[in-house]
Formats: sequence, structure tokens, C-alpha cells
Amino acid sequence: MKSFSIIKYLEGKKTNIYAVCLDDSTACEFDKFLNSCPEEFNEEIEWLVDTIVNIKDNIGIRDGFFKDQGIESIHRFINHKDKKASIRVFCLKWGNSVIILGGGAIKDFTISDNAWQGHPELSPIVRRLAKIDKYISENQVQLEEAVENNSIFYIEG
Amino acid sequence: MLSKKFEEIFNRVPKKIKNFNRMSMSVAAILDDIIKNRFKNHREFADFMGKKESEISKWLSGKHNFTIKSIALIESKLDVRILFTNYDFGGIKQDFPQSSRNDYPKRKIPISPAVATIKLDSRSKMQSVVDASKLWLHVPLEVN
Repeated sequence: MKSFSIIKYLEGKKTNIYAVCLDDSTACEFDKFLNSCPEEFNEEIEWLVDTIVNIKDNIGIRDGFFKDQGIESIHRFINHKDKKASIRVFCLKWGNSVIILGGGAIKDFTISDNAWQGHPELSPIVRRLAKIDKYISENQVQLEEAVENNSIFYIEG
Repeated sequence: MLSKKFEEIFNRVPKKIKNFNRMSMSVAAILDDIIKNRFKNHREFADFMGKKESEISKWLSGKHNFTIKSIALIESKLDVRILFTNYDFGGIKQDFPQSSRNDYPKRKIPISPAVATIKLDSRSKMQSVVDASKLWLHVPLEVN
């Protein structure tokens, strides 16, 4: 990842949902995941999509709906199957005011390590998001302004 | 920026998932509000309820399948109301269309578009404003 931008993905009655795009891509990471997710996980994806719509329109952001990933402000959505759920979708959650969707992946249950660190599909997603979160806070990026101006942020290293 | 894929997935979400999410996430939000207002933290709430913190996390996940028994227990311990049905609001009767059981065609007739104030229960002094334009009568068409 050399650069990123943030788009307003969904406008809601309770809260807006933002999403991260990487390296000049017009599609956000979340959409890329939705488009690439195998059909066998359709049900889990439906649960997730409906949860996001409920958050944006009816309930708002609540801590309980997410699991803290222990790095920066990265969280993952709690699925109805919880730990047995195959899909993992990560986001930046700033208090109860902002969600920025990151990417997602299918968790490999043949790997005994339960944490994202031990999973080659999950850890790059989390680490990229952590870099973005750090960049935003260190450079005091104003979210609305960045979205309005279609700003692209270049990350060194 | 809403993607076609997201919209396509949302449009095919089964009603049972939508209903479950609506109910479980609402109960979770109510409990979250109660904890924030009345308790120092989740642990204090868990102790009060006689539950483990991990159980409280499940309640707040918006994905917990509460039983009526557990809701009743929570309501009684906290002295609050969480779930309501039509029968709690004596005056309102819900329309249950028969379309799922009968084959004859139906048409929808809107009640006159006005805002109605319905006094629900004189004892509890509760009132509810109902937007009558959103109410519908389901009337069977005559079939010869």
C-alpha cells in the first residue's frame, strides 16, 4: 500500500459509514471483499450487510456490536456465529461516532491460532488499517474534508 | 457511493434475518443505555444480574437470541420494560392480512392521510402519535 483515500460509503439516519480505498483504486476494500466472497458464505454476508444497515439507520454505533482487535482503533464486526463465523470484516471505529470499513477475508479454521496475527489472510488487512489509522491521527486528517476533496494520502515505507 | 453489490445483497436478506437483527440489536442498545446510565461498567452490571461478563458481552452483541424468559428476568431485575406487544397498548389492533393463508387477491386501501393521536391507556396516561398515512387496510377483492 502506497496511498489511501476515504469515501462516504453509506449515508444513514443515525450515522454515516465510510470506507477505505487503496492505491488509487475506485473500489473500496469492503466492496472488493463483497465481490470476491465465495457464494458458500452468502448467509454470513447477508447478516453482515443487514447489521451495517441497522447501524446506519436505526441503532447507531454501539461498542457491543464490534470486537476490539487490540491494535489502534481496529475492530471487527461480530457475526451471528461469533467465533465460528468464517468471514472477518475489519473497520476503524472511533468511539461511537465513526466507522470506516476496511477489507475482509475468510478465516482459515485449519490454523489453530485464533487471533488475526496468526492468519496470513487477515493480518495484512489489519496491519494496513492500522497504518491508515496511525496516519490519520498523526496528521490530524479531517474526515469530512478528506471525503469532500477526494483527498489521496501517501504513506511512506 | 453505495455499491450495486451491497444493494443486491441487502435486497435478498431474508425477512427472518432482518427481524432477528432488528430485535436483538434493539434489545442490546436498550441494555447498553441502561448500563451507561445506571452502572459503572459491564462488570458491575454483570454482578448485579448474577451473570458473567462474557454473557453480558453476548447480550450486547446484537446477535444474541434472547428468550422471553431471559427478557422477563432482565425486565424484572432492572424494573424496566424492554419488549412491548400490541396488547400492551390496548387500543391498537394490528391488521393481519390473510394473504399467506388464502389465495384470493388483495388490494391495499390507505386510511385517510392524516395524523391521528390515539389515547392508548387512560390509566398509564400513555399516548402515541400514529401517522395514519402509513396505516393500511387489507381488503379482499371479490372473486367471481
